[in-house]
Amino acid sequence: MSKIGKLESVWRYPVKSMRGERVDEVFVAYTGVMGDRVYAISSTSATPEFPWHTNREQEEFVLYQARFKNPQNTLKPAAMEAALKELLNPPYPLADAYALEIETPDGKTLDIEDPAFLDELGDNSEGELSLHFTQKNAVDCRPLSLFSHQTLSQLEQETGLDLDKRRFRANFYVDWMSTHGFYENELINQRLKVGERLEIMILELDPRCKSITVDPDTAETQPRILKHIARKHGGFAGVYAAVLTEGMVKAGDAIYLLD
Amino acid sequence: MKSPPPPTDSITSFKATLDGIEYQVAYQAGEVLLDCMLDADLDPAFQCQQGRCGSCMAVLIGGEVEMRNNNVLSQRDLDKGYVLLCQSEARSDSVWVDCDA
Repeated sequence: MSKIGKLESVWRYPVKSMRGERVDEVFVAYTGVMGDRVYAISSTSATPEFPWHTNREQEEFVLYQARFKNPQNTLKPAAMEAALKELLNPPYPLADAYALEIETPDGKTLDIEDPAFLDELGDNSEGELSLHFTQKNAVDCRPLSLFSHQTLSQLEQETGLDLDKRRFRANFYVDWMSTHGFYENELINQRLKVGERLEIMILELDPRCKSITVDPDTAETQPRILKHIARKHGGFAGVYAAVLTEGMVKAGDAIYLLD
Repeated sequence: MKSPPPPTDSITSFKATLDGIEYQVAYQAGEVLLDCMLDADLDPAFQCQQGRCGSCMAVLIGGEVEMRNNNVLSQRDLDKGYVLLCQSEARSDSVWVDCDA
């Protein structure tokens, strides 16, 4: 087991495609980071296999800030220590523990269940919108996404753009001991340990889409970064992972290469 | 919204700006602009080729195209003139796309 880096920060996105939140410490289950993408907006104008209405169709999504009303209920399962001691899967709380409010771009605060929230979004949508809740995490592909500080730096150097890491909407932003960008690409099929207990396997490269063109603070788009990644990096930046052993993680945790 | 003209065999080329250079690209009826550019050994950005990722978005600065599919561009993108090269068939003989935009 060798140390290859550390967890720079941990993020979750309570509403898929809306502004995320950095968390100090959180449980990571087989389904991903607790509280990540537990809500999502679907649209009748989207396809059945990807029904979600996102910041691709409505860039302003990134300006909506979601906040759990009782965040302490959404960071760690209540019976976690006892369950893990018995090698059990810690039960998650009931849905009402995930009560959430949204701060809109113009400063209003709405309960996510308030019809006014979907009405506001729907003003700029072609299809009819619906709110979904799931504890399974409405991720695109895999439970966890990782993106490194070194990859961000390389992309900035290559493009001359000042890139906010939040464009890449990762769960784990990592700081590798390796100094070159895209080191995470070399970890496909490798098992990593993060912190005291969490074990993950890096599965595949993360194919990028228009979502990363959206500035997280202004919702203005910059297609050049997406085009650069498509032309110079095969369309991939960052990696996806699966969870092999559940556990808590916190910013600063060491990351070890197993095997 | 005005419908684009119907397909025609009379369109033989279109213009594409890539890395600041203007290319006249041979067009084959029924093909999408991206395939024609790749056939011409050009190197535009693309990835999914299904109208989902947006990597091939380019601004249509002249002529008319018809997109087979669009599952990624917003109304704001469309208002700015963006089209997807992987989904766009030429519908006029004066098509000009800016791949640098």
